[in-house]
Amino acid sequence: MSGNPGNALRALSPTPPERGSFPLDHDGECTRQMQEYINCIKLVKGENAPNCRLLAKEYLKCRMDNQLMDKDSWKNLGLPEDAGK
Amino acid sequence: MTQLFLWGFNTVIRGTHCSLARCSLPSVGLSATLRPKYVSGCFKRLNSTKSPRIDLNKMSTEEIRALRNEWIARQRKYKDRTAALYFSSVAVIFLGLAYAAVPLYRAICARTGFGGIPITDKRKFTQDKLVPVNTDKRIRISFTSEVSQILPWKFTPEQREVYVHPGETALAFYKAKNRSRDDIIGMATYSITPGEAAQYFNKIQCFCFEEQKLSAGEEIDMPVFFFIDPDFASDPQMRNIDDIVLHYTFFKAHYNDGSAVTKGETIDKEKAAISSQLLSPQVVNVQEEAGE
Repeated sequence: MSGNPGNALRALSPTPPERGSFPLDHDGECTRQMQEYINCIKLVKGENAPNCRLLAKEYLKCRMDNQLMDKDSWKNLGLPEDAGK
Repeated sequence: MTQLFLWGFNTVIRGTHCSLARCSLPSVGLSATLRPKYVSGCFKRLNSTKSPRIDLNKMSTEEIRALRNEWIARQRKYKDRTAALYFSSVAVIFLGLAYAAVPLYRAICARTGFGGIPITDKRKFTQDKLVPVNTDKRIRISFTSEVSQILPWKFTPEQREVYVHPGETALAFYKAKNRSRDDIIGMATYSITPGEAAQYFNKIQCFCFEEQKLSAGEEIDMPVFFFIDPDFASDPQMRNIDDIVLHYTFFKAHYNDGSAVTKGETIDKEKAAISSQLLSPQVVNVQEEAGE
């Protein structure tokens, strides 16, 4: 979409999140997965490493299973597909 | 006698209105001495149907002049009517355009985001946008947070920064804790620094712009799932941008009837801000009992 070079006004128009807002995890059902992911990120010092992305996938899967997120294919979320499941 | 004759002629003219237009008289400034042959030749065609034949050679000059005036008047009336119809149709067309402009304007604004209307263009989130760009350089996304002064929450990011490629989706967490003894509804907004990079920051799902209710003493994790648009790598204006800061601010939602805060916290209604609007952090003098 580089068809309009110098389009400075584009930065001013806000874009809403595609899927809206995450429902809050009041019961802490996915806290374990979240903690694993945070630990992984701290381990690799923030680099979005593939193994951390797999843990992120686990977290989102937990959310989908607990009705905290709409189910969607991993391709639509940019995450690697399930291998052999 | 002549009046009767003229009357008869008028009825003939009315009956053959349509073909009268084709009898175009050369000019309005015709001299008093008409050329009867021209006029009679024209009128002969009209009279071919029924009616008594009018022999103009036998008419007097006044009669011919009267006839001519009558005919010019009919011409003018026809032209006036045509012009009036054209103008009224133009007016109707513009009225229709005014009505059609409302949905048209809405559609254009939704597509281009003109005037601050959020772009609801789904094409930003297609699957080909979610393919990571193979560059060596990773963009550093830092996370910062802020809480309104009247919101008794503790709100911090769980990770300081994440390094991502454009097109790579990443997950980030913020932790919020309600330190008061009441259920409070908060709402978050975000901002991206630098401003030019904001157009490439696409959030798939987050926790902003919607009311989030936290019970008293509750602690919760709020995720943000986002990616940088792959076009970021090919935009020459973005070549110097290595750092992007995502900043979240939590405000207190405030309803006029005080229902945004429950469990006994009283709000002085006269001094409360405008109902169900975000209170900016600068508004500190709003009367609240919330302990900090």
